Amino acid sequence: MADITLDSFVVRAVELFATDLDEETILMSIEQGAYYGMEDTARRIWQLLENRQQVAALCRQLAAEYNVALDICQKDVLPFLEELRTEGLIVVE
Amino acid sequence: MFSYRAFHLNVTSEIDLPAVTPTDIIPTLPEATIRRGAVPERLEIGSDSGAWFQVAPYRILLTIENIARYLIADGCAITVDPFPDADPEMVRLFLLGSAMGALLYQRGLLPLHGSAIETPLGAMIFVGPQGIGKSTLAAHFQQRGYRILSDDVCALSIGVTGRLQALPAFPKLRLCPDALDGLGKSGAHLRPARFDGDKFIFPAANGCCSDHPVRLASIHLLSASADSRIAIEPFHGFGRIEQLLVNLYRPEYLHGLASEGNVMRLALRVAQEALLVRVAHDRNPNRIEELIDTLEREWRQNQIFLAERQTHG
Repeated sequence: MADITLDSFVVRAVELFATDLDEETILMSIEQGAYYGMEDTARRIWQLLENRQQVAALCRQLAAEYNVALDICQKDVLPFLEELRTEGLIVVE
Repeated sequence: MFSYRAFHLNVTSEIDLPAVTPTDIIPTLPEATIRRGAVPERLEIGSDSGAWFQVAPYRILLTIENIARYLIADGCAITVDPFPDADPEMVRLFLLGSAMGALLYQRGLLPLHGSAIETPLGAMIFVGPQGIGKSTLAAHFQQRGYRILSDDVCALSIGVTGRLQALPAFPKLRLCPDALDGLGKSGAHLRPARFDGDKFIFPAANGCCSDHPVRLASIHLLSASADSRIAIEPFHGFGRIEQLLVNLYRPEYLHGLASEGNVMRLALRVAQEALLVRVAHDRNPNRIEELIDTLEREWRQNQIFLAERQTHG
């Protein structure tokens, strides 16, 4: 499987049921039979993945929202997207 | 046919089950029926795990070599097909454990591997690895006048009022010989439960077991502590759901069941509403009364917290 790059398009593959547990968001996927714990930034990325978009655009938005350098943001976001793909939670094109 | 109450269900059975609470009322529509009959070697549809169990949306097939095949269907029917010369006691043990656990999942209930007692604050559940003292602790609580809800498998459900509750299982306790010594009872007169090798069936005295669902209060994860201190600490965030899943009874049944989503949602609600705490102790049988004192103190301190959670739930 090809690596996810800044040119890839990404979108959620499944709908997850979200609920709060203490300070964390817990997402539940009945299809995968699994629960996922997400903290603040991961939760925001998941929110944004509701709409299909290019990874580069996703990173630009996050870098602006969290006031971090774009290259640092990209370095954090790409592995997280890979994790989501491994879990079958997003579609990459 | 014999009639029983177990897990808040009316059960009729062709097989005599001495460990289960009998009832005189023969329901016209039992919620679960246990029959003898032919069970296929494999399910035509369903998971092909090649393991001792096979799961389809509304069926679970269990094959316990030299004991029996069990087919659990639609959350209400168990068919038992013993192997030739199978020990009837073993056939019963797997029926009440593995097969009943499968039925509970099919009904969308959440079975935990642990013991439970009834307290004025609600049901207190004890889970943890094998041999950590779940049954022993429940037996000692019983000596103090608490009623037992369950020993091996504790099933959680949503009650008619929408609250989480723990269901009464069977009026029996399985204890290892050491634990019996601590209670001042000799194991010599008790019937051994060959299922677990060194454990004994220890019949609980009359009236010592709850016969009704009890609203859920806390789930205690028993673990071994490195030193002699008893440490109690709550779990937070994702750890709560994680710990709950680790202590499910035979979670391998769940994937592929029609009720999987309902069970997962129920687990999430339990993680949100119940108090989940780790209880580390040194497993010294002489200090079990001290452990119980500590837990009782802890519960009194958490009284308000528990009441709040239940109001919100």
